[in-house]
Amino acid sequence: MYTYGRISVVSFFILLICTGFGPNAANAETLPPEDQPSLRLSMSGAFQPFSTTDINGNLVGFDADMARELAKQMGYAPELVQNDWAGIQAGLQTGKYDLICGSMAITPQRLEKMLFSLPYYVSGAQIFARRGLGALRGSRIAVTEDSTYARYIESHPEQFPEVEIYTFGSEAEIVAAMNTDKIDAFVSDRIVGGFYIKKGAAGDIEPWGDLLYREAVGIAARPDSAALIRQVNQALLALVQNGTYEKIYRKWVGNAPDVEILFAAWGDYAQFIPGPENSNRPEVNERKPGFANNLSTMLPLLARGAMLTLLLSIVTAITALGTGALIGIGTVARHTLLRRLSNAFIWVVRGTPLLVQLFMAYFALATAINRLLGFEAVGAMGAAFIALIVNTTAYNAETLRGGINAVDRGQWDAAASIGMTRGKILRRIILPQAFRDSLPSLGNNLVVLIKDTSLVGAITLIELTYVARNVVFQTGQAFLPFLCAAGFYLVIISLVTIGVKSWEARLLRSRKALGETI
Amino acid sequence: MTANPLVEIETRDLRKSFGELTVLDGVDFKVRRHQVHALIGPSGSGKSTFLRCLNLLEYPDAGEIFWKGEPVRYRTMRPSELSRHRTKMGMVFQHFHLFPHRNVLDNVVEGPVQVLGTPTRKAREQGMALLRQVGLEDKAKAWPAQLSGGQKQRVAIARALAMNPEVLLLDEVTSALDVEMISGINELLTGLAEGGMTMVVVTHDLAFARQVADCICFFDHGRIVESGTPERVLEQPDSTRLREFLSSFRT
Repeated sequence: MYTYGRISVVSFFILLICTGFGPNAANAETLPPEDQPSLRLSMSGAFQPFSTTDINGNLVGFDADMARELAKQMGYAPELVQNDWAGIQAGLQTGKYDLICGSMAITPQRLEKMLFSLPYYVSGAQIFARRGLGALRGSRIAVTEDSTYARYIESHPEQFPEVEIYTFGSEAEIVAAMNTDKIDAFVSDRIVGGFYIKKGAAGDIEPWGDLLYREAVGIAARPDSAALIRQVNQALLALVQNGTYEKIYRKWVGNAPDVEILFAAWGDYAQFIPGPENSNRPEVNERKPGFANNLSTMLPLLARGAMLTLLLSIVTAITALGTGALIGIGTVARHTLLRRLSNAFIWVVRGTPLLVQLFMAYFALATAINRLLGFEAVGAMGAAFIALIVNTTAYNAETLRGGINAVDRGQWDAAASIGMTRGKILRRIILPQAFRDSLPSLGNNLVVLIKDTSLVGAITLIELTYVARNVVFQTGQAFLPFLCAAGFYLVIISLVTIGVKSWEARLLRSRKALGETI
Repeated sequence: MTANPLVEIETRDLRKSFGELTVLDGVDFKVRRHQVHALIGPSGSGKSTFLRCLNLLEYPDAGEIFWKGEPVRYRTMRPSELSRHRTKMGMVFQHFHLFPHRNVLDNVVEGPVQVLGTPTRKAREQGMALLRQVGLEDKAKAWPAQLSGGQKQRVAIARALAMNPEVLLLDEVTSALDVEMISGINELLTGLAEGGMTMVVVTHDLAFARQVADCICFFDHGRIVESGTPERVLEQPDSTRLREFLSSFRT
């Protein structure tokens, strides 16, 4: 039990809470409608021990328990929403849920776009490194996309000399990357890292150096939800007072919360909140990286992402046309083993999601190759090419297999009767027809491929969609960056479609005159 | 056996079944040089399958095939030997099977260039001569899809002739054609026969068989029931089955 020695401090907060603060506290207050008694709270589910999923897929952890208790305290039925960290702000802004109760640190930048509750825990940023790393110089360091850690590294380059920054969508990938030698160190929450060390989850790691900075973590809401935030603060205070908070903290973090520090943070935090009557927001002496915030600064960034999308698409498309043809021919080979292997390849690849293939190529295959060779031969780009080519090859092979089987048996007879060998029949008679008839479907595979490149952001490659998401975080505009990205995709895919159509027209000239009866 | 120089192909006790269905039930047959052999009989009697066994588009289950007295060891043949064997015979199909992605002349020269290794220029000259022979010189650059059925079949015949075959196998080549196209094709084939081409013709056109064939074989249930000169077979049939078959044409 806490001893509330400083009753005056608490009373001060009660006063503060009841007054309410926030950019537009006086007007535009929206609460969830009366007829919707549930409160939707979001978290990533990939941030142990704060949020993760149990064996049944339920969200559990400190954040999850806090979210449930807070909602109950506020008189709502809690509805927990799992959302990827990278898109968690966009989800809030677009109304997918009412609050983010997902270990989001309160920062000046975020305060420009969202309201925050009082801190519900205080932690800090810590580098964790492979045991015995030594100097940071030249090492590979991972952070979660759009985290305060990422911002910190961006704005303190002098502390991270010549490091290579790897950005992942969630902590889960960072743990995987640590386990597969992709990275040497990562920046994470002090408590989270301690949890990894205790569980041995991220390999043999240790804290590296001092705490980078302390951070207060709050519950975020849309700017028009001041009344809701006020309710959260009241509920938080109630949970602290009735001991629920300590129970939850002990359960997940393993020790008692330092309430002194929490209260101190409440005090610190109060001054960052512009109330309706005091709008003098203190200047923060943090170096702000230049962010894209309008169309003209956004477009060059997106164009660079589009170039990578284009590169991935072109190389994959050309390679997979050849490999797809080989496997497609393999499915009609006379050699039984060859035929079985080809069909098995198609079955396995088409039966697994590309994202899983990407992770396997990156975390498993590339790591195995690199460990075997003793140097980093296959990076994220190599892994992306492997996964995209393998995936597209299977779809092209299946398309061609169908095309080959659709060619009239009489074509084989006619070609065989003039003494052509099987290989020649395939090459000169069957495949040209199969290819010609498969071209619309192959073009379709190509379009799917271009869109599928948007997944490679998951393994740190900065392609078009990734850039768009990043711009969304930086600007807080959910619409324009995605609209621009969609425009880029549309242009690329339109050009490809026109190209395939004209190729098709050339190949189809042989049947242009009349309906085809061979 | 002593090779009879007048026999191109001989089959002995050729058997073939597709699952339960027996299609060839012991066929003995001789293809004689410079002669036209017409195979007649009801649908499903095995005549087309027999024709396809001659150039090994189908493999017999049992029985022997001889080419100019030499046994054709089709069970142990290498793919290259198989292909070479097929080049000795040209085949024309009911449904033409032209290569739709090649123009008319390229259809004709594909075999000579790709299989016989004839230089392209020479193959094209010969191909044009053949197209002239079948009356399609002006269609050399046309696509198969632009031709009528009769024209397609002429191209198919030219394609088979381009390989300089010793025997021509014709599988119901006029059955898919409109009536007005048939006589033209028949005239073309008659001309080839008069030129001394050895032919095996599967046909339902008894008038054509009578006019062009030296020998008619009646197939029924996978066997050759009767064979002989057209006059003998068509006018004095021995078996009930043949009489029934012939009478079905008169109604």
